[in-house]
Amino acid sequence: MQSFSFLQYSMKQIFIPALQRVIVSAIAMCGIIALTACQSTVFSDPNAPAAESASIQSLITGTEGSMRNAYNFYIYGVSSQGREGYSLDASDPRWLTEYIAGGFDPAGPFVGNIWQSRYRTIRNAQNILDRAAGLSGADRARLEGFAQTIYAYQLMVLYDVYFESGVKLVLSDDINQPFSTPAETLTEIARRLDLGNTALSQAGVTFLDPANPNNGFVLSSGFSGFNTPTTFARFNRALRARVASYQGDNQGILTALGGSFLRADTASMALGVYMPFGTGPGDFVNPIYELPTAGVIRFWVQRDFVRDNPDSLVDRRVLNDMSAFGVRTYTLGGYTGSRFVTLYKSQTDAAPIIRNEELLLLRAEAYIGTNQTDLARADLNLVRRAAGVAPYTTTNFTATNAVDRLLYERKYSLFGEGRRWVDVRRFNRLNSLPNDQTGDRIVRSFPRPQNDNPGR
Amino acid sequence: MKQRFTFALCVLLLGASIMAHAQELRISGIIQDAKDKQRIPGARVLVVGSKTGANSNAQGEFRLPIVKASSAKLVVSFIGYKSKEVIVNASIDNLVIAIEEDVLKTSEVVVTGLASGVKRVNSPNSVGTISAKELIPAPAQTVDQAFAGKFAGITIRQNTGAPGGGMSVNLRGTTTIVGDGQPLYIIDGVVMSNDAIQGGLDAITEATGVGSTRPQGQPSNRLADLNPADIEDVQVLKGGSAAAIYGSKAAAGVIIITTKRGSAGKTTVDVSQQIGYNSILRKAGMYQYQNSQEAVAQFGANINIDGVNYSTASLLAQNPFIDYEDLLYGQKGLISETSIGVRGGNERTQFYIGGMARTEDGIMRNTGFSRYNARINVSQVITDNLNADIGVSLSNSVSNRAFTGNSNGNSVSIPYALMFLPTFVDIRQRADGSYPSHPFNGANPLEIIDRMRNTEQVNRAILSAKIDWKIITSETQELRMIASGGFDFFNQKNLITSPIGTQHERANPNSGQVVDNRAISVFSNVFWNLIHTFNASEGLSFKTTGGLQFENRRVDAVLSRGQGYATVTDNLNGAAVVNINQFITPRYDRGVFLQEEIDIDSKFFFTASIRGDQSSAFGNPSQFFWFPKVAGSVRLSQFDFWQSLKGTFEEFKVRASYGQSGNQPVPLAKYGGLVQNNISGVGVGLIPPTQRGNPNLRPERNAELEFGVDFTLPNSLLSVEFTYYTRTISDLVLLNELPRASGFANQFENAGTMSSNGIELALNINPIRTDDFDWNARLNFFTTRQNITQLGVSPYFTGGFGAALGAYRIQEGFSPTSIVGSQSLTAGSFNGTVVGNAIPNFTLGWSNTVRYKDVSFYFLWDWAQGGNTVNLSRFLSDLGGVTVDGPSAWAMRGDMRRGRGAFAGNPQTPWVEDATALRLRELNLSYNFNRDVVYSVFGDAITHLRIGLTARNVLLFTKYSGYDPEVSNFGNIAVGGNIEVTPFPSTRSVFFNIALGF
Repeated sequence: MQSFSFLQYSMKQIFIPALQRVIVSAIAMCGIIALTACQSTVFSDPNAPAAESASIQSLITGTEGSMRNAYNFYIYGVSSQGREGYSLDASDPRWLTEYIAGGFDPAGPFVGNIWQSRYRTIRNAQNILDRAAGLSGADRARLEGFAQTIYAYQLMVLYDVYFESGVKLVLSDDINQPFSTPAETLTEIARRLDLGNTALSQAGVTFLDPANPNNGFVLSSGFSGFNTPTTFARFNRALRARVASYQGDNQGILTALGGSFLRADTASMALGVYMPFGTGPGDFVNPIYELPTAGVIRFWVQRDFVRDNPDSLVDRRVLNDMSAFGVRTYTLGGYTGSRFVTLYKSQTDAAPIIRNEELLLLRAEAYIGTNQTDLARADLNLVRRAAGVAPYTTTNFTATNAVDRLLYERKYSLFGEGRRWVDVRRFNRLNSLPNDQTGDRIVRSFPRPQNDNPGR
Repeated sequence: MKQRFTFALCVLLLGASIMAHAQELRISGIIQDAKDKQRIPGARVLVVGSKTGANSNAQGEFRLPIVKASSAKLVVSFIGYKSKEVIVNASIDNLVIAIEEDVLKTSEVVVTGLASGVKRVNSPNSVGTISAKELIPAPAQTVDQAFAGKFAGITIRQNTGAPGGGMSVNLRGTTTIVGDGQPLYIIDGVVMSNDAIQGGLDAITEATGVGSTRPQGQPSNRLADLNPADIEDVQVLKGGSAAAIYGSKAAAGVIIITTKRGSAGKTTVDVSQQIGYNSILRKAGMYQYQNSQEAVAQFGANINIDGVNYSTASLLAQNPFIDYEDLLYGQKGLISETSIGVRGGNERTQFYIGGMARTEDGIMRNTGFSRYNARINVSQVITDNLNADIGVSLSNSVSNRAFTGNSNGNSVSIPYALMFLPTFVDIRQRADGSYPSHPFNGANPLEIIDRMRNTEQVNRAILSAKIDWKIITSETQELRMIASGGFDFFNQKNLITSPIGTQHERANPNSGQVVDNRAISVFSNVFWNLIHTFNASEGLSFKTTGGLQFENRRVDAVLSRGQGYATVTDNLNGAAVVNINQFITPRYDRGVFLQEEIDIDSKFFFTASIRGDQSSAFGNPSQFFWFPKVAGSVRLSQFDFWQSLKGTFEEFKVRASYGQSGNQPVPLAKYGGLVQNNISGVGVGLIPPTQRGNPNLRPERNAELEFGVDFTLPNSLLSVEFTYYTRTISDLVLLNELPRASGFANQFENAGTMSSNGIELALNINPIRTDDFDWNARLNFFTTRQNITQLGVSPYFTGGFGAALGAYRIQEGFSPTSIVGSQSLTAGSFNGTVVGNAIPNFTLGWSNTVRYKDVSFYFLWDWAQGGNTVNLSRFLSDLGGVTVDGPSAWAMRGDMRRGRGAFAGNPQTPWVEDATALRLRELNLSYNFNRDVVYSVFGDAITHLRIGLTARNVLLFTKYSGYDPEVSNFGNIAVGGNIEVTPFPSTRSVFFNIALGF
């Protein structure tokens, strides 16, 4: 048979021997592989435990713990926009260009970090809800009561920050999941809080049943006083009151506060639920805390903030939280501070989620909204007395200026807790906030994080 | 015609030898250089068709054992020379064989299989090679530094100028987006670790969290441990087709390093000493304030230092300009390098012993690098059929790398702190030894240099062994078993200390920090090959290789961080708080390999191979992935019809090759275990990782088609190697950005296809070659174009610090190294605008060696045209008020960035800069003392003596405003490099050297 030939060799001369040899070798090799293939290339994750094997306690603690992630982004971000205080931190100029000047980069961490961290906590809360679905009775109710409440609280933080940009109400990989409207978000938060509240009422006396410890849990010191289903429900209702205030539902505020831990007493302003910080292994410290003796301070009070308080020499809210620590000024990028934020006195000080002082202010707000000016004044005066400033009288507190007074008290009472920007926004006074430099702007919402935006 | 004639003659002679079987030949003589008649020791003389052979001794003399034939064909071979055939018909004792230097390297053997090679003239692939002489004309701190500009297709990026290395090597562009884009390194048959293990710098600088997928700790890569002087040659399989034989780890290419062997004859000793210094290659400059109004506008009327307000105007009056760049980077660091190489042995045992001691100080005080190497290679002929090679290499590398790069928190990075340090504010050490606080940054850079340490120590042993057993040898057949493999073991210790009392530690509630990182890396592998050669007839031969590969890699790193000390210490004991992280990375691979090579009359060369790999890194660790290859070359100049063209093109070859190779997914990416988020007093908290595991990961597959034409002109005037390649990388592993509303940040997925193509041109010119004057030039030119052709996930931004500061865009129809900026976003959505690209338009390397009598002069230029680097140092120094070009330029860039003023509504990213650079990489001027002169002075005591001046990184011409456009804040990241955040500046080194042999 003739075929194309390379020089003096036919294709047959070249390729047949080659093929024969390859086939013989392949058979031999397969035999050897069969002998050696038993070597194990299979092993489980050498560095981290699988989700299925995690205990309920570890998921609960992890959920509580991860609420603290990106707390500095959240506080610096909303405090800057609320013109309470600025992070003049040279280590990233974007603390200034994004958070103060309002030039947000949707694709950057200053927009995305808060969002990502809250959804990570929500994912863990969802993991707990998934576990709960396999249980029944009080075992199930305990988990649902905790997880729904935290889920709702995380959505509330997202609402505060992303407001009209919207949030996603469904945990999903689908980038086309819609962004909700503010009203939809509030409805969902209220729904989850109410589900949690109902579950808590069926959760028994304690979160940890000694007879059945694997399906129970203990909470951290941040929930001290709120660590049984009954007391935890008071926290749930406190959050529900805040949601009602967002919805402008004054009766809803009062109803929710009825089930909360509100205490009308000047000594109980700090009573509430906190996020604890610590120095143990795998824990972390309060990122807002700074040693007052440090050579460079990051978190400075906005320059007009103290000036706007006529009682600043006596108001304990100013004296405690905004220190001058001698004559000291700091200028970075044209922003100058002369007092810095001393909200926390140590690196392990807990950060509040919601506390009694806010509940009193919420009640005052509801009273103002329902024209019960005297009751409102009484609550505000409780707050003022606690701060060491003179109470309002019937002459300087009227139905006309009640909202101004309320916002003023909230401004100083809840300083550094992420409330100011949200307050002026919901009372439509964003343009009353100052800008330190021309060109700076205050936004109504952080933009949609680029990674979640269908048009990314 | 000639071939046929030779063939006929051989047949005739063979026939004759059978008839006259009683005859014997006694052959001895000398081997010498065809040009200068110098005798050549160590050349190999072999009788074709037998195992009989001999090596020439120190005087170039050889004596063959008695050959039982009436005629013999001898082949003489020696590295760097063309091999030569001589036919001997009668006994002779003064045979002079002159061999010719292979200036254009046509007869060097290049890799075609796991245990086989072919002469370059037949090679179907473009294989880059670097010989010992070309590798280090000027001393290099690390071997990879010395690769730059040496052959077409290689891109070297120095991620950081810190002592001890940190280099990225890319062959033919980027082969992956998030995987390991670094080539596989094989040294003497051992899979060598080139890992860059994070040393824990991020823990101190807070640039990113410990364990981040995009760490910024600027680690050294472990090629730094090799002694460049031990290397005999380096072969580079550039891409998917040539590297297919290495299967699932070879998509980024393979770099095969062979160390020096001994040689029979007189023991020779080569000693060299280099003395030199490091200095900063280029300063970026700092702004000098012109008047107090300017300073007050920037910093306010007062500047607070250590709680005291100073008037800005008076500070400026006291110190108009302090050259902090000079204070920080002005050191001329002494470099000393002592090297010794000993070669010797007899016919059965040969040894090479190499040693090096290199110490150097960096351009910052308290920085530096030292490395001590020892190597012993022994080759032993055990029986006539059995050879063994054993190599042992030990090294100790210590580097003091200082604190550079990105930083958060208290900004404990020297160049970072500099970006906020106005040149009129004096924070130099006071007479009492204390340091003023930096008023605009958490740490004082001068104090960091003096008081903090970032050290790394690596002890390493590489053991290699190779057994070459000729199981069967006959006239027409040979069966060999070649088994090679070994261990690569090292332990790395990083110690980072930040003592109490420094400015940044005073701001730290738990004052004082010690980071102690310990990593143990053990790689082991066995390559086991059976090779069958069958000479079907004269000129037609087959070679079949079957092999198995077992590779185990395991890295176990424990990072401990102590905080809160009462005293200055470098011990974890005494810490108030200790945090520990452990990362174990096991990878177990199994491979099987089969190859057939066919050589037809040295005219055609074909090869086909297939490799199958299993790996624990794959989602399914027991599945085999197969990587085939076919390649062929036609040496047209061997055909009869070419004879008339021989005078024009002495050699002419066309070649084509297709092959596939793989890239393993990022190790452990298939897992997604929970991570800790503990609360003190309650205990362990677990939360989902930001990166979700994906149990379905497959290796990336790089399918490459390569064509080429190689030719040489007569008289070794010019050789040209031209290659075009096109490749498609499918199953591209992406770190897909998930919608964060999934609860996760990202996930590795096989979800894309990328295509690339490029041309490579290598010229080797020897225009003048006389006894006195010799000029040899090499020119490498290459371009790379890449494009993402398919993407299975929504397009996304990656790398950098967010789009507004220059990030990368992964999207169908775009290059994977596309850089985007503020102008690329409209209302949060990508609008298609690309601002730059990390890959240059073309790269050109041009080296020249000119020798006149005893003086030789060498230089290497390296030119990268185009490409961009994102200079975020400038972003910082604009805010800090120190960028050299002054307030109006800062304001202009501020307006650009924020879309104000002249740029209203049109924000830009001014930090993306042109990275075009022309560098004089290497320079060498040496004087080789004439042999007679040496003899007349030293007699037999010294055989050669050379002195010289050498330099590395001599000149840099670029418009780039930073220290060096060649930089990466994120280390060896495949896509996401070329981003500068206050790096360690690049250095120039200059040496005087003396080398002698005896």
